[in-house]
Amino acid sequence: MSIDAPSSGLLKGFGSVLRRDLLIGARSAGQWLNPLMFFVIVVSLFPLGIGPEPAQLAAIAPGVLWVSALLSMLLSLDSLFEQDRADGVLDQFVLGRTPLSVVVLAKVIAHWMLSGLPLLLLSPLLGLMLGLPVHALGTLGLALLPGTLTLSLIGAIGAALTVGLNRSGVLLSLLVLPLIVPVLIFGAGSVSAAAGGYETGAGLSLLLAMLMMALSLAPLATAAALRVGVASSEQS
Amino acid sequence: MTPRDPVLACENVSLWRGDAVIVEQLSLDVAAGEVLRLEGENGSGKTTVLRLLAGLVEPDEGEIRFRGERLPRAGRALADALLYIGHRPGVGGALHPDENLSVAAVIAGVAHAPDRHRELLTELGLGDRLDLPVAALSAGQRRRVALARLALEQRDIWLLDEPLTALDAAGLDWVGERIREQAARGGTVVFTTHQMLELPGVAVRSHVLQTPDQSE
Amino acid sequence: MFTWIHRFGSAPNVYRLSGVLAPWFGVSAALCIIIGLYLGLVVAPPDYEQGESYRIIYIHVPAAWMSMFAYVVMAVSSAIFLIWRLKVADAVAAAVAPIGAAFTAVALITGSFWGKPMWGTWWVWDARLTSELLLLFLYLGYMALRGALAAPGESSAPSTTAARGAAILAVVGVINIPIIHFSVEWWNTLHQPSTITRFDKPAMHISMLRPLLLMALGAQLLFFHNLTVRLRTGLLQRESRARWVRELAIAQSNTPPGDNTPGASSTVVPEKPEPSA
Repeated sequence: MSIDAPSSGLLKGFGSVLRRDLLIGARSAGQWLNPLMFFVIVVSLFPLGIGPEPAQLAAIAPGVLWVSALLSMLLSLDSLFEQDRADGVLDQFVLGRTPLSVVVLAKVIAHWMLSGLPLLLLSPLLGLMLGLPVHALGTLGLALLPGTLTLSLIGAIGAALTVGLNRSGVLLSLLVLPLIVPVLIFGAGSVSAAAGGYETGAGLSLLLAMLMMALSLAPLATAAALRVGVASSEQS
Repeated sequence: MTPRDPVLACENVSLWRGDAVIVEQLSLDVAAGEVLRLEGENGSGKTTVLRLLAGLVEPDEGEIRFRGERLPRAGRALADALLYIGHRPGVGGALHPDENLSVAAVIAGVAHAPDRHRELLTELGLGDRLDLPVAALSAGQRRRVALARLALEQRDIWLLDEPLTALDAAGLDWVGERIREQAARGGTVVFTTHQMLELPGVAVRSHVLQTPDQSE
Repeated sequence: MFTWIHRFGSAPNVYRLSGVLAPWFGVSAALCIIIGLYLGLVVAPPDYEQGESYRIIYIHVPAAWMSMFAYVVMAVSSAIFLIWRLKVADAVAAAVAPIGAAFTAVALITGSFWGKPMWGTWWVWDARLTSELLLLFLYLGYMALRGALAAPGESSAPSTTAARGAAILAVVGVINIPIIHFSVEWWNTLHQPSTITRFDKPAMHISMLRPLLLMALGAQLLFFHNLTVRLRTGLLQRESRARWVRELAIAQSNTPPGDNTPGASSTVVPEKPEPSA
């Protein structure tokens, strides 16, 4: 696989960075496999902690799936910019002609494809294990798609703000978790509604609206934060 | 300083990190066609000065000018005229040498020529390492991958942080040759080093950075 | 406009102005709060539904209002700092954060006290309390980031980069607050249809309303008192290299001998206030 990019300008820069990060992800399986295993294990802990009562598990299933998905994505966000900073690649991104926010967007999409997408594909299976009704599984996927993407976008701001800091994982969670509460509320709310046989359109549209907002604003904030991180990260 | 037309200049630049002085009241400039070597002991701020000149770090006091215009306003124009190879050389460990050069070319906005990349890497003695991740290479080989960009991107200003570290004699010659070419075509080079590099036919000016006094 | 902002917002000017204003804010805050507490706790009649326990609103509601107001002040000054690079604006944001967090904590604690007689539990996941809890998390995150971005051994002056990182977070946070608030309301109606509407009674009797407004004004003045005092300390710390601070220090140490007591020097560096409500 080579990193040839199509067409010109922004698209070329976007495609090149996207391919680069996917290539790196493909060469280190842990990057996408570990968050996935974390997701599975955390979800499996809930029945052990709460008890195997099917009705109770079914009632908490949407919340459990969503919280576990958010936590496991947060786990992988920590490293979103860290390796690039350590290699000095981040400096090149900041100085490069491709706008930094475009680079950021490409990296975020790559991050989502390596962490959010596998979760999304695995979530119906775990939903069934928790006793979520089959007719709610479609809503689960439909809600997780924009929800996890929004998390990647907002989480990138936190990852950029904490880049270069030692033991930044906990701080990153502290910064990002309050900001993604709306995603959790509307995401888990939609799945609960679907499980109960109610209308889910409102929750899903709100998730989409939040995704649109995050898509337009988060890369700019992340780029600004990265410039700050680059300025403070290195001393002679 | 001699009266001339500096490409890049800093005037009375100071930078603190907390209560520690990193750079104190630094003034220096470089003109077109000039090669400037920054010297100084560890902790004298060589890396930081290069990052200040690249516009990656903003000074707390004083100003930095690119062709007479102040940073950060001139930051974009400076970045477009700049080839910066930092202390961390900017190659991704999981990627192969030519993949690194391809991404660097696209990001830097220069023509992207995979054949040229392989040719150049072979010239740098990495011909049998093209299919290995950079992380598997030695420090000197990794630096060569980064330095290959000297031959790929035509930029007016080169800022090179310790470009000679971990290089062997052949590598030193190659870098020296590139710097001479750059100066001959009217480009500017600022680099830091601990080694004495002989560059026949090129006047290298030295600037010794004083380690700031922290006693204050 | 630009130069005006910079001249007015220069550190010595703001330092001097804060010094003049701080005592006035302090005295008027104390007056408002003393009279407000007297009217609220002694004069106002008990509520016919909630008895005496409703009186906690005289602390809870002003604290909750101020917790939101403080975040907005923090975010606006952060935006000013990002746009105009005005260092004083960052000093304001840094000074506001702990005050806002304190008001938020007070609102949370008094809210939970109020819940005990009303609902029989110390905590209910009421929409407002939950929003307030999330706001506290936002404050804590902001302060944690500021702490983490500070260079090691850096006790006083934050580097520009640290200040800018914190400012970006504050602006991102303030965009999110309405969304968080809305989502929590939605979540609340979805899961537990509201049983008791809390403090927003359609017609509050004037004898109950008057102390509430007085307490709100008092909290506002207390906020500005704390802000001006903290701002002075912060400005001295971060400008400790600047000439005006040295001149100030020299002027203080040149006061006649015998005047050089700890009491006299404490006017140079005001003590850090403990924001309280």
